[in-house]
Amino acid sequence: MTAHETIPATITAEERAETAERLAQAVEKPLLRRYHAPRWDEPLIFQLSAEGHRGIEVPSVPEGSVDGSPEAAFRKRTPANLPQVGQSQLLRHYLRLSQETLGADLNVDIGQGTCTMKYSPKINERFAGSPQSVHTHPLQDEATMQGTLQILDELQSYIAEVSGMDAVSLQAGSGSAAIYGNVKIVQAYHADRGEADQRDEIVTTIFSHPSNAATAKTAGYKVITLYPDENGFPDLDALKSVISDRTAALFITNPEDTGIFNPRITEYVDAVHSVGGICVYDQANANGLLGIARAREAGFDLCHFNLHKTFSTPHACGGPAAGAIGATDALEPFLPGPRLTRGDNGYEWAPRREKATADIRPFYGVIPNLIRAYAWIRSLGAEGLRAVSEIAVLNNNYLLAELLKVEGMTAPYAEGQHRLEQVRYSWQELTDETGVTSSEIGARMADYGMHYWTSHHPYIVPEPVTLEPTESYSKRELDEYIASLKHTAEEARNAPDTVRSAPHRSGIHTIDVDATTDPETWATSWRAYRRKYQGEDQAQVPRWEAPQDLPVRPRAPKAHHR
Amino acid sequence: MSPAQPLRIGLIVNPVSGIGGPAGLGGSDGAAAQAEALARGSVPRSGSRAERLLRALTRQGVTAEILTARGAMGEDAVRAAGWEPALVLPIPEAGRPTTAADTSRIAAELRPRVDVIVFAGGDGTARDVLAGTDEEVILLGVPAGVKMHSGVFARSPEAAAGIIAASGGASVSHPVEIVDIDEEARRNGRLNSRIYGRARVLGRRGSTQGGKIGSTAETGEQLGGIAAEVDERIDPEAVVLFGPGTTVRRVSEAMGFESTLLGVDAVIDGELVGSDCSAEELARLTEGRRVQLVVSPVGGQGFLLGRGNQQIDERVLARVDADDLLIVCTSAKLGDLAGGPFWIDAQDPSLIERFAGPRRVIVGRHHEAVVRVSIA
Repeated sequence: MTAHETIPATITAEERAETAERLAQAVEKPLLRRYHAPRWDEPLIFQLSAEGHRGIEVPSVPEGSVDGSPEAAFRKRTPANLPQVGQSQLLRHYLRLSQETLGADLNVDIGQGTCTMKYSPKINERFAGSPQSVHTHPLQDEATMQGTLQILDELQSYIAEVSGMDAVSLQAGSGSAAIYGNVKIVQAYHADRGEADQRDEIVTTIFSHPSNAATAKTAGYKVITLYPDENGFPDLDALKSVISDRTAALFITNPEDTGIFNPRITEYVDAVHSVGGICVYDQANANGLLGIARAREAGFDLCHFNLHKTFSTPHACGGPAAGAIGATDALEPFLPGPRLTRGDNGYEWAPRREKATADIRPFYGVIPNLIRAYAWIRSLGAEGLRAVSEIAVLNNNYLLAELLKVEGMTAPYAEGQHRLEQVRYSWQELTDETGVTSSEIGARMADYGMHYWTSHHPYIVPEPVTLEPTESYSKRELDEYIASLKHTAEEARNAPDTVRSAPHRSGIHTIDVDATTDPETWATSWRAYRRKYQGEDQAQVPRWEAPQDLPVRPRAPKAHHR
Repeated sequence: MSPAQPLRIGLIVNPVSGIGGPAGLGGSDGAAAQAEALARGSVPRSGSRAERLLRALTRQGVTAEILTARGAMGEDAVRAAGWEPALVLPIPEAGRPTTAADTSRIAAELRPRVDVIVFAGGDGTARDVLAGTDEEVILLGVPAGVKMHSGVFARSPEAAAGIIAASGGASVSHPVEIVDIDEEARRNGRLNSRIYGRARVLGRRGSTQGGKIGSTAETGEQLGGIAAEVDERIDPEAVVLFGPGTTVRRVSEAMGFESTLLGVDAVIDGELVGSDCSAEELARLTEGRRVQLVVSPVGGQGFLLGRGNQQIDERVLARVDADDLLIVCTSAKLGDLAGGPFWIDAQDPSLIERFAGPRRVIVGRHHEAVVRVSIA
């Protein structure tokens, strides 16, 4: 039967459904997209500047009319060195740049494993962008912002409920900032007990986010990293062999980046508690746990969530994001930043407490993102949060089952078991066979409009790729991603040079990574570009200069993801 | 071969393999090196490694026919282990020192008669066996050389017996590269291997010790951090032994001297007291002192002891407290090894038991990893 034939009236419901499905398939688009990104070769906005061009015409005011006003006191005498561009040119400039990105709202973002951005519902932008949000000043009187403070207070209680913790701080402006906040809480707790000098070691794991080791080092700790045992879990015997009265804390993720839930996590917690250490749960991988497992019930003392990952808020290109710290009653006095209280006059900021750790950032968190997270939780409710995790786990295991059919791809550790929200796969067999590496496959995936990420360094899983589908993606979208990966693996065998020289249809070709990571060559501002590349002689800001006899450390080559 | 037939094993022992190790010669290739090693007191051990293999085969109840060569090239080990050789190939001019050509000739004669050629030796022996056969030959190396960068070796004689027992009549094998040290790279201060050919190795991939992965451009900052960490732990009263390898050399450079790439050096309170030492020299230098030993795993294989550093022999190891084994490794190399385990191998495994188990590994300034150390 073709799409134009009539369905006889006598057919059964089953036959009708079957026919409808067949008709739908007849018009189905292929899973492999014929994508091509625009490439605009767009100049920098400063290079578009033309003398006298204006975005808006501001009416001039009579000379002397603002004398004595506050505006006059703040007014700069010399205009800022901003580019002069017309409004329509400005619009085109930024539209073109936006077309050259693979943003979270544009691409199937599941290749951002450990960091996949789930859908941020657009309705929440109305709340985040409302005047009560954007026109609030952090220094205004609490009495004038009771609604915002109520949102913060209730969001704290929701995060406390999700984690099982007694108290929550929303002050951190990113996941890593929240981890740093946790390190400082650990430090303050031991200092309060007179053990700060003695407890100088923090234990973490290689499959936890590197920020755990990095922030611990920043705070002056010695770091001990656990590597996986043959099952992919951090080696429990190794943990027991290194913990002592020098142990300040264990910073661990569960599931780790392999997506395998560690069923013996309480044994790790009990071991560290037995020597007086604090247990900190990095909940970066909590997408599969909401309403199912809680940090406190596994015995943890501290935890943090990335609201920009698990609770739908934007990551904003590495900031401003939002991190939420959860603590037990014992550690609550050490939480950073101002604390909210509710009294007869409504919500107020409590006076700074003696044991509180230093503010992680000014004021209290990234308010628009906290409003988005609040709205997202309220729209879902408790049952909805659990459904989010169940769908994320279902999506991930569908992806796992399909990708294990692709020749050359494996999922190291826990063979035959289900995973939670993500999997770190390996292309080692394909690389052995073809010489094509995982990062080259990643570059080729950009030709299908797909993001792709390998792994943190060092690579423990060889030729890795980490995929995390979250609850946001439909089966059709997962199938598109699978089809693109499968096709690329076939290309690695049949046309390896096509993969090695990719991307071909992306907006931007591969970049010279060293040029963008070397302080001698990078230019992070127009001013720096003029100085380094156009030879402009600029007045140097006075800087600290190293003494002549200070040994110069050789600069490390960077470990690049691609 | 039908399953009912016993496995036919061609056994070749390179009698001089590995004797350059304890002598601190970095290898045993060539008559001059072998004579020098014997003069420095090295004792041939490849025969006893082959014996350990055969005794382990007996314990595992493996039925096999052993075809071998006369005397020290196999027959002696076979009989000492209680086996009766099915065939003993002659060696002309009996009594003279054996040569690489003997190994190649014996391998060529065994090739059509056996299912697998098992040899006790090192990379040089592997090259000689390959020279007498072809790339389709199925091999298995019993580690008895100084350095074993080829992927053809079992981790120990007992592990080799396990591979033979599980091989299903030589039906399971996988391709490997036969490599040896790149002398030109070594002269330029890098430790790299050169591929001399390919062969098949008995057993499943992963059952052997794996080929060595050459050193990559390791970050100066990380190596500097490792060096600073090592420096903090050095006891000025102790004799500190720096093992071979690129990582240890970079650490030594950051500490103010250049350790021998394929040798073992001794330092007391920052002063170099022995360079490229033999086992005899190390035994003398370490007598009556605390001994601290700085070693790094062989890339891609994970061996800490018993590969390329056999001059650190039982006498020296007996003087090293477990906490004085300072293991250094860059995170990239540790990642390539999937986080471990690391392996240790010695003629008498009971002497190194105390080094086994989870061990702290220095990976940077104020940064350690915990890696399981296992006896091969």
